[in-house]
Amino acid sequence: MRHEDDVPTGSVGSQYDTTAWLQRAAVGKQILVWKLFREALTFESWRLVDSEPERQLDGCRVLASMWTSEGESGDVERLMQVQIDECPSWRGALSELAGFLSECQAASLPEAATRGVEIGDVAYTGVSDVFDTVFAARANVALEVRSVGRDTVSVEDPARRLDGLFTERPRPTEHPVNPTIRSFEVDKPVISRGERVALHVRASDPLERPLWYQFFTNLGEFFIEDDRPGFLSNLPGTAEIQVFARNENGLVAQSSLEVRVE
Amino acid sequence: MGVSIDAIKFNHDPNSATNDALNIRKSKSAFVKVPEWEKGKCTKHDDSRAAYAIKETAGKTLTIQARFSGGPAGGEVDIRAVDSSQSYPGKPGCVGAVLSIIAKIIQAVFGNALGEVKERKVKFDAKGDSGFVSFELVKVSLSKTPVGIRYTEWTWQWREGKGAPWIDIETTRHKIYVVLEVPKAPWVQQPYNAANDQLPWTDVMDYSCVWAIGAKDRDFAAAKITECVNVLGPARIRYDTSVGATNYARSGSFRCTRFLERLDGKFGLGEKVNCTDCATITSTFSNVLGCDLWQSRMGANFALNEIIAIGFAAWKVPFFGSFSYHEVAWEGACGRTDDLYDACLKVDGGLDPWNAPHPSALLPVNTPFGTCGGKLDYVDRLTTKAGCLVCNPTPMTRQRRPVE
Repeated sequence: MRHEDDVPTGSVGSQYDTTAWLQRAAVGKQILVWKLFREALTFESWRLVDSEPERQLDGCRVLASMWTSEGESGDVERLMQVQIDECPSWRGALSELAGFLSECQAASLPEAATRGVEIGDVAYTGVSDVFDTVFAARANVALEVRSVGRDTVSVEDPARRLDGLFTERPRPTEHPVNPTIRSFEVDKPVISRGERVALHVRASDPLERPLWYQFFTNLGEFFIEDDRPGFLSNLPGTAEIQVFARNENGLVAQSSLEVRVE
Repeated sequence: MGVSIDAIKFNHDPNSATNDALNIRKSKSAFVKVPEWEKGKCTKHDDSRAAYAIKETAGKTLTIQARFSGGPAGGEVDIRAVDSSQSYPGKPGCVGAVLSIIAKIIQAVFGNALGEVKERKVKFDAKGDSGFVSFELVKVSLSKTPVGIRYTEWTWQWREGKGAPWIDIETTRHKIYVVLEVPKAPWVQQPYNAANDQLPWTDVMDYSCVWAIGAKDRDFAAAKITECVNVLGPARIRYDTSVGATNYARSGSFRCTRFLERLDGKFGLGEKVNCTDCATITSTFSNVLGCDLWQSRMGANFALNEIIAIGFAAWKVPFFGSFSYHEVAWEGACGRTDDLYDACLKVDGGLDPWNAPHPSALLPVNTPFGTCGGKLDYVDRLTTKAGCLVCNPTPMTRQRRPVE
């Protein structure tokens, strides 16, 4: 019988300690990434060569891109594949991570932390001497960064950069063309434990550039339902919820609200 | 009066592949429009593509349709097309003899298999337009032709009536793909419309028909495809020795367009592949020729003998000694007695596959999965003796990933 706290991990449940994944998501469940777009991603010394059209998979928005960089030898192919699955919840991200792992022939992969790379709520890497692969779940995002070119290169820095993008609270900016959060509201300011409540954020960019959002809370967790962010908590207390609206140029607007959980 | 040929239809009946060409497209994004040949638009062979299935057309009369203009208003003329590729003029002496032999070899391998267009009377309306007229093909050699790409050059001719001299109209050029049977899933023939991107792609046939050139049956064709996929390593693809992750065949579909990019020397999705990729490539590229292979798994978490992974030359046991699963191109019910094709790795083909040295590397083609300790079938060669006990076919996983 499936427990409500289980994450559907399919065939990898026998290969990995997926029960432990639930505890490790304590940080990530209090973060939500919403409406991320490819243009928000940049990696030092890597150049975008291809960006695939966004698609839906298992309820997640999939952003896939290919990057290249010039190696010392110049003509040897260096390629990095980046896939980001923005899922409706942190559980969905763990499920996507299980999906990544289930498509690997390696019977069991080492955790990234065993190679000294602390990223993600849960993260695995390959057995290569070079840190050439990472599969991770952080908040509601499952990510995969792989070196797929002839020249096997480390993807540690880009993976850290991605993880930081999701977990670090950006500093709000002031600029003539800064995004603006016009309103940030919750359906009910006081909710019961376990009650799901929708969050409403209205933001705009003066140049009509797309915006993506990060939500942070000190209590409870986030989810996306009906293409809208939501919040719930199984513990009582006051949740301080912050939202950051970010455009492709890194300009940031911020707002916050409180939800009391009884 | 100057009779002109305006268009030719090879696939004039999309509901049948017995008397005409298959329903095809060029790629995911490009449809092959009918008529396949149009005056002013088609000058090279590549501009006019059609595909025929040997099995379905055997013993049948092939027909095409063509449209003409500039004919006698309300009148009729005789029209035919002769095979202009056979007209090698020849030269005297030894050089001429050698060139003649070369020409015959080229003709035998790449030459016209559609024969000629049988003469018939064509009526024209008051504007001198014939509309599309059906022609029978004669001297067709498809039934004797193995898998390949054939180049047809027809010189169209007309005359006013019996006894009058034939007058050349134009020479048309066509690229003809010859496959064993109507392509099997994931490739489909219906519905036939530009939106159906699972119609067989000629961009795939461009590889499959060359890789399996000369094949006259499905097993041989699949074996040749498997060999050619395997030797794509290391130039184009290599096994992902770090995690063994699926790259081109993820999430239920085959990123065939990206794989074709890789074959063409572009980035595609990179060089890394695993068994799922190889099984999907092998079966998809075989099935476009009429083979009938699945992508199916065996599992789970079984210990391996030393293998040579695609793109590598050394015997090694990958990862920590075992596969969580393995996937191959597989026939029939994908069970122990069904033959499989594995482009992803070579096993020891000798009498003791469990221990080094490994005297002979064997690419598994058209071989049954087998049973442990049996006739040294595939599973014995792939797995350790302990691993063999937990390595079983999982036919419920069999699938044919759609192409995208």
